[in-house]
Formats: sequence, C-alpha cells, structure tokens
Amino acid sequence: MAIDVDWVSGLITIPKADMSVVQVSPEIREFDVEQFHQDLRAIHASVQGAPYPRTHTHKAESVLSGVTYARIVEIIPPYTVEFEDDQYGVQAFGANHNLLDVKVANQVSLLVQNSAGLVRVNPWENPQAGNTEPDTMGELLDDAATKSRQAAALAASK
Amino acid sequence: MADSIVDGRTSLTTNDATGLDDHTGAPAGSNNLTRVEGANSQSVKESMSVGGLLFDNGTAVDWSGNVFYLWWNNTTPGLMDTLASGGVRLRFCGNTVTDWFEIYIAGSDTYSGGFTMTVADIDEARAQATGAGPGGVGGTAPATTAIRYVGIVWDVPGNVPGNVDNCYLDAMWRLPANTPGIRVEGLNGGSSDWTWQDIVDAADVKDVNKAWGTIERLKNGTISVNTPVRFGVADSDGHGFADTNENVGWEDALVPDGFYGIEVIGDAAGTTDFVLGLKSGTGDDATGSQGGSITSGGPRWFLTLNDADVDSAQLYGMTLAGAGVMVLDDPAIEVISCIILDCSSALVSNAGDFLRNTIVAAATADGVAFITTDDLTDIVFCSFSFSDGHGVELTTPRVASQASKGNRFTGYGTDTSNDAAIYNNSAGAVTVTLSDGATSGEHTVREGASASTLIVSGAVTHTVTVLDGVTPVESVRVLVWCTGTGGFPSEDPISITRSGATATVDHTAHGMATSDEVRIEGAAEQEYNGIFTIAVTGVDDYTYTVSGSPATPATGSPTSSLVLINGLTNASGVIADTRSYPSNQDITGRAVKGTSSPVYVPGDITGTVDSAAGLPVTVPLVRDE
Repeated sequence: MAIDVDWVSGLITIPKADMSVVQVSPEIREFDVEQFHQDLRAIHASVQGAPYPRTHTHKAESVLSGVTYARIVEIIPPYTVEFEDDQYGVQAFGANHNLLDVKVANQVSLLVQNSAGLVRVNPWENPQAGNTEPDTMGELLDDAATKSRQAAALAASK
Repeated sequence: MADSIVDGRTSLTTNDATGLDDHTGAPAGSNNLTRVEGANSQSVKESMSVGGLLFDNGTAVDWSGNVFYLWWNNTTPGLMDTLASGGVRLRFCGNTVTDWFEIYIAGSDTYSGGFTMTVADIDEARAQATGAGPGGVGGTAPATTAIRYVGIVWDVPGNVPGNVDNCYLDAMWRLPANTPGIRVEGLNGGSSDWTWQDIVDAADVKDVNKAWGTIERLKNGTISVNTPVRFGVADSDGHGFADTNENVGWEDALVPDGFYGIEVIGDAAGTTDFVLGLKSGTGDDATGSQGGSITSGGPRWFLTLNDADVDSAQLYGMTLAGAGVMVLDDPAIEVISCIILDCSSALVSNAGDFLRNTIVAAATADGVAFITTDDLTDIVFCSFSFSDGHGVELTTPRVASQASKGNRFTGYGTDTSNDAAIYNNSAGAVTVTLSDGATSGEHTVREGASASTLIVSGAVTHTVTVLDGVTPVESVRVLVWCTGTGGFPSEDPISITRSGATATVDHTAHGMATSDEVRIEGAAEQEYNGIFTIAVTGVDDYTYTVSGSPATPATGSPTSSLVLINGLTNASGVIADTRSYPSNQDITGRAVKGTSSPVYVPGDITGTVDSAAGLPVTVPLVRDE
C-alpha cells in the first residue's frame, strides 16, 4: 500500500505500514518527509496526477555561509493529510513541514520535530529606516525618539 | 468485334437514294450523277414550284426519338425562296403525303449551293412545325409515332431554265434515341489507340464511298461532329483512344439537349482506355495539359465515363464547354487541369481524380449545384466561380468526415442562401476540414433537410517546448486539454453510468472519435475521474474503461474535456499536436517530470490555440532537487 491522493476530497492518505517502527510501546513510527515529497512528486508526474493542482511546495536543502539549512515541505490547502488511524505516534524527520497544520484529527499523534534555524522576528525585519509600522524596529526607534524629546521638553520646563 | 470505326445509324435508302417518291407520292425522277455518296443521287426539277423528294417507308411507323440525317443539294440556290419563306424544308408525312409537318432548314439567303447534311430530331421538328416555326403543317400533322415519308421539299419561285433537275436528295439515315452515331471499337490496326483524325478519315466527307456526314474537319482545323460517339465495346478485347490538342465542336442542329455526347464503355474481360491530353506528376501534385477542347454552342452534350468496366477514362488539360450532364463517378476517371465552362452538372462521387479544374459560368440555377458528390474529398484544388446556385451538393450516402483541399469558391452567397457554395443534402451531420488554402469564408453552406455542416479550418500545430534555462528537457510528461471556450469539448457536463468495467458517457454532440482521450473530472466517485481513451458509440455517447466498482450512475458534477496532448517531450524538449480546430480553443495543461533526475517543479501551460495559426508554448521548468 502506498500513499493515495483522493483528488475529489483532497485527502492524502499515509498507510501505517509505510512507516517504520522505532518504539514498540508505546508505539512510535517514523515518517520520512523528504520521501513523502518524492512520492507526491511522482504522483504528479503520472498521467492521472498531472492535471490536478499541486499538493505541496518543496524547498530543497540550502547551504548558507557553510551552514546547511533543512529542506521544507509544505502541503497546500485544501489538501489534507491523514495518517492511517490507530493508536500510535508518528515522528517526522527529513524536512521541516506543516503537516501538523493539515493533519486530519484522529488517534495518531504527530511529533513535528521541525528545527527553527532562522526565526522570523518582526522588529528586525527590513527595511528599518523610515519604517514606523507597528511592531517594527522603526516604530521602536520612533517611539524612543518621541519619548526622548518629551523628556527633554519636561526637563527644560522645570 | 473488329478494330474499326463504325457508322451507327440506320440507313433509310440505298446509297443512291433510289426509289424515292416526289412530294405527291408518285415515283420521283431519275438517278443523277450529282451525288455526295455512292454512285448517284435522286433528283427532280423544281421551277416556279414547291416540290421535292420523299423516302417512302411503305407503312407508317413509330420514329419518335429518332434523329434524321439527309444529304441534299440544290443547283439553283439563287432562285429558291428565303429561309423565312421555306426555301428548303424537311418534311415528315403520315400515311399519306397530304398529312405532313415540315420545318424550314435553308433558303437563298443562307445557302449557296452544294450537298448539305441536314440533321434534325423528329420530335423537335414536329414541335417547331406545329409551334412557332419556322415551318408548318399540311392536312393533319402526323404524330411522330406514325410516320411513313421523310424527305426534302424545295420552294423555287424562280424560273429555272432548261430541262435539267436542280433539286437532289442523296443518302438518308435515322438514328434511334440513345444510340451512338459513331462507334470507335478496338484499336487502330489492332495495336494503336484511335485518334480523332482516324474518325474523320473513317467518315471522310470527300470520299463517295464514305461520306457519312457526321464528322468532318473544318478549314479552321477544328472537328465538327453531329452525332453521339461511343468508345469501346463490352467485350473481351482491347479498346483504346488517345489524342491531344484536338478541338472538337458539336454542330448546332435541331436536336435536343443530351443527344450529342461521348460515352466510354468496357467489359470486365477486356480493356478500355480513353485518354485526352497529357498528365504530369502524381497524386495531388499532378497536372494536365494538351487535352484540346470539346465544345458546343447549341445543344448540351453528355459525357458519360462511369462504366465500371472502363479501365481508364482520363481528361487532362481540356476545355469542356456547353456540356449538360457529365457522369464522372468512377475511380478509373481522372479529370485534371480542365476548364469546365457553361456546363450543367457533374457527378464526381468516388472519381479517381477531380483535380485542379476550373468551373466557370456553370449553367445552374438558384438552389441547384453544379457538382454532386457524396464526399467533397473527391474534389481537390478546384476553383469555382459563381454563376448561380451552388458549387457543390453533398449527397447520400452521407460521409461524416470530408476534406476540402485547396478548393476555392468565388462570389458565392452567404450561409443558408440558395447561392451558398455548398449544399449539404446528405440528411446528416458532415464535418468538412479545410486545408491548402481552402478558407471557411468561401465555404458557405446551405443545409438540406436534417443536415448540418461543420466547416473546420485547416490543421494547425500546437507545440510545447520544455526548457531548463535554455536547455531542452527530454522525457517531460506534457498533458494539455481543452478548457474555456472553443470548438472542442471543454468541461462539458456529462452523465456517466457503469456496467462492469465499462463506463458509458452521455455527452451531447461530443464530436470526438474513437481513440481520442478525454479528461473526466468532477465525479464524486474518484474512479470515474482521470484521463481516459474513449470508444465512440454514438454522436452523443462513448465509453471508457474504469477501475473498481464505483456507484452508478456517477454523482457529483462530472465534466469531460478533450485531451489534445498526452506524451513525453523528445530530445529537443518538444511535443506537438497537429489537428484542425473549428474555432480558437482555450487550453490548459501541465509539464511534469518527477521520477528520474533531474526532476522539476510542475510547470503550468495555458493559452489559446489559434485555429488558423496554432500555438507555440514554451514552458520553463525549475529544478526540484
């Protein structure tokens, strides 16, 4: 049994048997997200899969300044992913992913195991100069300058 | 059968016309050495009188449908009356010479002397005599079914001096209806094809031992004929006629349309070949030349070449003018590079070649077509200039898919009019695919009862080129199907039922063919959806093989779209599809390669195929590794 895509409902079904057991009790199986991406890509490359909208996006591993950043697999809604229902846990590996966002709720628990190598922090997004949008560094600097001017004015009035 | 050219008429008299009566029924005058044929003619003197010479058949007989041939002469033409006053008359009598009808055939103003062959159809003559003339009746005009006497009467009001006969009648013939006056049989000398000159020689008008009076070469080099000609015999021998650059004209005589003509016949056990002109090239590239001409300025003539046992009947580079019905519906017939001028009709169904012909001034009327055929494919690279009515009528048995290769229609009326280029009278749906310069604008159509016609522009190519940067990508799966607007099925609503593994689709007027591929989508049961090869079972139905046992009928909102491309790119990164599009067609699709390195992110394909120019699409793919 292999991955199946129901093109009508958009449900991607992952058989339990396709995942290796890494712990017997409680049962935990591991799920190769990169292989998952390759399987979906192969389905899309078939005559029957080609006409349908893409199931996911994939960003391959990339090396930045000597550091290898993990690949990313992102399932595109309205597609959803369902691990074959049973009492076991799934430990994902091989790529950062959004499976938790698109997973069909059932007895299967998902261990995401994403690695946040680079976290987006709003105040530090660029550009900063002249940017006084809320939650930006520009706003912080603008607020600081305003408070400084107010303090100076208060001191001068005394 | 001998290798010979034969006079097919029935002689009324001996060679010397002996035994004629005068116009009163009494025995006529003496033989006279003045003759055109044989050793003598019969003569009589007419001076300040009206009288002549008559052949007496002995009893009244049915001569309706016969054409009569009479050699006559007058040595005092200046003393005759004029044509309008009946200087020379062709007379037919009933059981007595007092009951007659006659037509005026010459006079002092139209005749200058010498033996002349008069040709007239008896029924036409009676109609003229009893009608508007010129001519008249005496007593009770006999019916053409009860004729005993036929001859010539002269009206000579002048005083002819001396005791010398001045009016002469020589050999006389009749030709029953549907009988060839000249039969060309076998081969010249048993080995060579006959020619027009051979026929002229066989009937030599200057030879008293021949002088048929049915064919002669005129001083201007043309050949004049006044009788139908048949080539070949239904026997086991070989028959052949071949000639070039001869101009043949049918004499303007009092005969009905369709009396003159050419017929070629054969037999399965023998061979018959009839060729006028020369052919160069093969297939649709062939051209014809040097065929000369066959024309008529008077009665329309027939051309019947469709005997299934004729081995070849070929007209190359000819001018055919003034014809009536031309029957050309046999695979052994080739008509190439001919000018067909002022002719009434041509039946060309299943003709071997009706190629590069020019139809000008067709003698047709509103709602009437010049050519009838069951398949426009029989007509290739032909040019039709409007005169009246239609250029082509499509008849039964209906041929659903036809082609118009290089045919042009100039000046024809709009769709639905009685002057449209094409009249679909096949009582069914016909698709005509244009190519090689044939344009939909010129192929206007009038639909007959229960008929419908789809004119499809010529085949164009839709090319998909897949590149990785500037490098062609081979073995990319390209799938393109119809969407949006266009003439092909594009997300057409359908209904599906299933029996076993066979899904049957009800798809109104789908217009597709067996082995076409469709994309079915929208069925709630996934097994029905996908790309499938269909088997057409009707204009509104087809089937395909489905896996599993989905519920039947299918639920949801299934639709069907024609798949235009489904295959892999070649080493140049190209895959193409060539077909005819009834109109501009919106398309969409994907280019995918995801199973062997290098693999790529699927690429989308969208566009509109121009029905006249096609569509080239380049799909850049991004690696996904």
